[in-house]
Amino acid sequence: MKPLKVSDKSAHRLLVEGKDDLNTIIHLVRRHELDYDNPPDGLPYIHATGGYVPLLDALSVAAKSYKRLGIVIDADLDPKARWNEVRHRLDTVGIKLPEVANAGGEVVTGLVDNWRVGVWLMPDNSQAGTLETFLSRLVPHGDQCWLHAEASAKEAKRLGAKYPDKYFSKAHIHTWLSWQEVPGQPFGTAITSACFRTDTPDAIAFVGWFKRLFLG
Amino acid sequence: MLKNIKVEAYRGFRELDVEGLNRINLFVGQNNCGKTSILEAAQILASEGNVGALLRSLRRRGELLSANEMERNVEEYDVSHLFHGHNLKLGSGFKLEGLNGKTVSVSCEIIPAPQEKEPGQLPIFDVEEGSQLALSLKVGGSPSVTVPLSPFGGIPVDALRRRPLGMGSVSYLGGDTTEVPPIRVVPTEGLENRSMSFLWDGIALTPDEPKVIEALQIIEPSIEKIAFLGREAVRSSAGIVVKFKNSDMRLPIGSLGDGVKRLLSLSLSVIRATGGYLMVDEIDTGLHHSVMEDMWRMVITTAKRLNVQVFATSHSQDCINGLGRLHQVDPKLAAEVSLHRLERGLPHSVRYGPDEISTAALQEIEVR
Repeated sequence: MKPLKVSDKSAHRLLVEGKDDLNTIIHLVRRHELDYDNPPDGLPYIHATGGYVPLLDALSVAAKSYKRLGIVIDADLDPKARWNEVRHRLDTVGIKLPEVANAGGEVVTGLVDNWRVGVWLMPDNSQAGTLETFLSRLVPHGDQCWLHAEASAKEAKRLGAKYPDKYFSKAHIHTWLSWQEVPGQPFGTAITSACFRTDTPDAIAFVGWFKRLFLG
Repeated sequence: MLKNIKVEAYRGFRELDVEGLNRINLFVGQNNCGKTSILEAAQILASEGNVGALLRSLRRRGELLSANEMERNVEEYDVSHLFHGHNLKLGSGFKLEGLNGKTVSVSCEIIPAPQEKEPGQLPIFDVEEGSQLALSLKVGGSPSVTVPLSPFGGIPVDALRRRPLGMGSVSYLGGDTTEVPPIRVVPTEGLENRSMSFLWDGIALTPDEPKVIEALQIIEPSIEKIAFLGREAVRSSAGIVVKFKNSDMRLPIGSLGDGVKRLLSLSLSVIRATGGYLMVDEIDTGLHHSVMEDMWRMVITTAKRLNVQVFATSHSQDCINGLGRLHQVDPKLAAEVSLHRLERGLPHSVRYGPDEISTAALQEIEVR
C-alpha cells in the first residue's frame, strides 16, 4: 500500500528501509488518528529506499531538500555504530546530532532554522534489534501462542528450516501471524486488525516522535 | 569560468553566496526566490561589469518607466529594481563578486548627481537639469564611473547611444575590457528570429552546422537540413525552414512545435558562446520529459567541447531527473554539473553535486 493521498511532492518526508517499515508505520499512526486516507497537514510522504545503505546514501540529499525529514532504520547488532554513521552523514551537511540518541527518538534543527530532521532507531533508539523487535513488543502481554511460536521457530530450525539465524525474529513473528484469526497478514494489516497492540510504551514513544517531527 | 558568486543587497537578496560552481550550473527553487537574478548577476560578472548587461536585464523584465506617464519622449530603465527592497535613495548600493581566475567585483551605489564636471568623476553622459541622483559603478580596482539618473530616477533607454562624455566605450566599464568573452542569453520565451538568424550566420557551413541538426534530431530524428531564408528569417518563423529525409517539402520550424525551436535556440547559443558563457532561463521550456536527458547531453557535450560555462534555471523535477538519468548512463559527462537550490532564509545556496543529483533521481527526492 502506498500513502497515495499524501503527495510525493510534500516538503515532509519519511525515509524507511523497506515496504514492511512503510506499512507498519502507516497502520500504526492510523491507530493514533493520523489517517493516510484522510491525511492531516504535515503527514509525510513515506519512501522505502530499499535498505539501510541506500537510505544512508540518500540522507545528505534528503536533508538538503525537505523541511521535515525523518528516517527510521534498524539498529541491528550495533546501535551505537548505526547512530554514528547517521550522525556523520548529517554532519557533512552541517546538521548536528547529539553523541547519544534520545530514547524518545531524536529531533534536531535541519538545514534552515525552522527545518527539522528526526531519527528513530528500531526498536527503541538504544537496544540492538529491528522492526520485528519493535513489533514483538506490541504483541499482547501473556499471549501463549507468542511463546509457542518462538519454540516452533526454533524447533523448525533444528529440523532444517533454511532461515538464517539473523532472521529468527522475522521467522518468529510470521509464525505467530499465521495463527491469527486471519492467518498470515502482513504487518500493517495485522496492526489494523488489532493482532498487535498500539498502546504499549514503545508504540506510544514512536508515534510521539513522529508527531513531534512532522506535526509539531 | 566563474567559481563562485557572492551578492549583497542585489534585487531580492540581502546576501547570497553561491559556492562550487561547475561547468554547468542549474539553479532551482520556488517562484520568486531569485533564480533569474542569479543568472543576471553571473552575466554582469562574466561581462566584467558591462552596464549594457545590467540594463538589458531591466528590459527583459519589463522594468521600465513609461514615457507616457513621465510625459517624456522615451521610456527609461527603472534602476530601482536592482536594489534590495526596490529602494532608490542616497547611499543605497549593491555588490556582486565572483572568482574567475581572479576576483571580479562590481559595485553600484546611489550618489548625488554630479553638479560640476570634476576630472576623474565625469558622468558617462550629460546630466539633465533637475537630476538629483546618479549611479556610481565600480568594477574591480578601476576608477568608478558615474551614470546620471533622470529626474524620474531612471536611465533613458537611448542614453547609452548618445555621445558619452567620460568614457571611450560606454558599455564596458571594466579596467581591461578588450577581451570580454561571448555571453549568450536565452530567455524563457526563447530567442527572437533576429537573434537566431544572427547566431546561425556564424555557424552555417562550419563544422558546427551538423551539430545544430543533431540537436533538432533529438525531437525529430528525420530532420536533415535547416536554412534561414535571408530577411524573411529575421521577420518571422516562416523564414526558418527544415527539410526532412525522404521528403521534398520544406517546413517552417514554427510548424514543428516549441520543443524544436527551443533546441535550436539552445544549440545555436551554446555554440556561439565558445570560450564564454551561456545563460538560460527555464531551460526545459517547451520540452517533453522524455527528451530532457538528450537535451542535457547536447548542452553538456557542446559546452565541454567549446569551453562554455552554462548557467540555467528550471522549475521542473523532470528536468532534474533528466540529469539524474544522464548520470546513471554517463557519469563522466554528468560530473560537469552542479545543482544549486535557492532557499529563502538561507544566505547561501544549497548545492547538490553530480552524485547527489543521481541519488535524488534514484530515490525520488524532490530537490527543486
